[in-house]
Amino acid sequence: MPSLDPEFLIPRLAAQIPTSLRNHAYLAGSLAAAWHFRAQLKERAIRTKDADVVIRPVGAIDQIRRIAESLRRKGWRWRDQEERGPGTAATRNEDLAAIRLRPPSNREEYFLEFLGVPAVEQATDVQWERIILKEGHYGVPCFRFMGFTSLNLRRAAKGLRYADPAMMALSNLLSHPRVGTHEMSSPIEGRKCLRSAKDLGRVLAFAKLMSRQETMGWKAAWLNAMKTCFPERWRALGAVAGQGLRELLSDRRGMSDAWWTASNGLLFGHGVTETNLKFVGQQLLRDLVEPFESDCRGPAS
Amino acid sequence: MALSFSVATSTLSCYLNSVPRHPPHDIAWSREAKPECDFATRDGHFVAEVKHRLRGHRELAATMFRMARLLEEAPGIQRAYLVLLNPRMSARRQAEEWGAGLEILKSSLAGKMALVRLDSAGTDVVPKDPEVRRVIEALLPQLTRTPATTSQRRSLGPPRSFFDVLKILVHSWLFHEGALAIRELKQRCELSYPSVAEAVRRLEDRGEARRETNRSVELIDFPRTSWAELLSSADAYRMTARFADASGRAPEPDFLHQLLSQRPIPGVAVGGVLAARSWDPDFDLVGLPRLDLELGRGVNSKPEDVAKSLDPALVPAGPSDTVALVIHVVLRPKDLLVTRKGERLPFADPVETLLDLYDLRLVDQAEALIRRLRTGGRDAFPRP
Repeated sequence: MPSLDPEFLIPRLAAQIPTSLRNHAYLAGSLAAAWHFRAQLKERAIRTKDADVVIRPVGAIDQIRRIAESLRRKGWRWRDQEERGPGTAATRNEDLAAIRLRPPSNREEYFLEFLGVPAVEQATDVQWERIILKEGHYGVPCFRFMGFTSLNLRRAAKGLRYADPAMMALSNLLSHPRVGTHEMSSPIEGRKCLRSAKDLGRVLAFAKLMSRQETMGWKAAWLNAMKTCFPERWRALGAVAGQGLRELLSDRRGMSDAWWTASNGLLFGHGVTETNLKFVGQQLLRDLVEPFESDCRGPAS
Repeated sequence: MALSFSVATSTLSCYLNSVPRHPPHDIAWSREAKPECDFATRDGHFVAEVKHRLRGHRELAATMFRMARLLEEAPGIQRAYLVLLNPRMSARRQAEEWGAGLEILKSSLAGKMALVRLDSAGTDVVPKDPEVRRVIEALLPQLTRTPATTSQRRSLGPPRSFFDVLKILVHSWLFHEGALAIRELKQRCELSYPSVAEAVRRLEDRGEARRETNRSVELIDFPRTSWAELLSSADAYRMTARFADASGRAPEPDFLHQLLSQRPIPGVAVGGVLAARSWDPDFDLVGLPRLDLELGRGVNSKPEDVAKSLDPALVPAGPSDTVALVIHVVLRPKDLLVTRKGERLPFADPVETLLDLYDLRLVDQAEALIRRLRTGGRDAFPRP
């Protein structure tokens, strides 16, 4: 797994995106987290292979196409060319290959993955949008709770923005109401890990790197995000926001995988034990998640 | 009040597992009334000083110096043992400090000193000489003879009731209440007349209290000797429980205080630095090193349960852990918790607060608080 230095990479990434389109793009996922917590990264880098770039607003098909084509003109290459090529008009949306581009230089081992912002009240876990590029038809996944990350964006470098950790945390929590059995396609440092454990483990990593006062302050932003993205269903969804996290804390494999992914990611070199992380989770439930769930259930408006 | 505490019990059971069942019968230890040592063998060849929860290297060094002086003054003593019961220092640090201390002593004295550590890991004796170990093993059962449900301190110090009376009298002295009628003292302490009388007699014998002709008593001055005795037994007397944050994050005592303010627990008062600030706005300390809480009567929960209800990550602190929360049990009958206007939580009374400050090693600040409460500026507290 490559190590990416966010302070080196993000300004360069920003420069690759046309200025006129930069306002439509923002970073999410591990690179965004690495940028936010860069002062606390032990190696000044994070081990990740992909940089999630979300293009907003909802349905920004034209903006996605223009950014992708601009990068292609600058020499960015397809990552999955050997696995799945472009589709055609006959290809179903959910069968289309995602847009994953590798930087021009062979020395850099990561890739950009394009994501889309879901529609308000999207009911499906993922909705694939079709993008027609010169090479053919590609798909952009719009994950159900990714919309949170388009709120309260923070500034990174050269006009490029990134997702607020509070919003990423909310997205990850709601995306995994169960620990489940779905594993990530690529191992992390040689180990196959549960997808839910990686995402929920990132929530725990955020909490570990922040003070409890800070995470407690997420509640207002969470409530606002819920009402913005799910004006009809925010109460029902929010009332069980911690369900997956609770299950993770009592799931032996889940907790182990969460610790493994976090300690090989944001928490690398911090000497955090699985026990530490479990207690961080319990504190997060008590400080933030339970009051949030209560507000969603209760009369707060 | 139903209270049971597992910390002392588990520690004691570990001691029991590590001491021999049949100590050597040719070595008879007995309690010694001298200030230089706690125990001595009948023939005077061996002496032992016992320290409960020794705090740090300074206390260790001071004790080693005293032992060396005793050995210098009494050449007939063949060996002096320092017995550490559940010390707060790590074994490694203790070994380093012990070794460093021996190096600067005369070899004739250093060669007569032995260190015994009893904790949950077992019994460790230095030097590792079978004969050295055999002698001290004859003493260990005496240290563990008292039942786990009663204070170990009882075999080594005055009864609880003495400290109950002492605290009431100190409180009365701090606030210039004048002589307290024995009847009043008895009522405040909720003790029997014989217990109160015995405590008063002990204070009188030390020249720390005087009895008036009208069957009242007051302290002559701050009772330094008895107070020191209380401090040395404070952990056991107050059933102090210490907790660390197992999340691995740096402790946030202010945050814990905030959590408690949001959800007060009936019968739980704030002590330590926060209480000291409530008694003295000029209290000289920046920040909050830890949160001290006093668990009063009527709280039918163990300190561990109170800690967990406050923060799920709080676990009993190990010797090398940074303590985030300390809970002391206050069984004193008279409810002296103080509720101030505008505050959601009651504060501990000044005597409990002073005990907290001494436990925090904030001695200067504690003395300043005594002066503040007693004199309002006049220096009446005798400095060492």
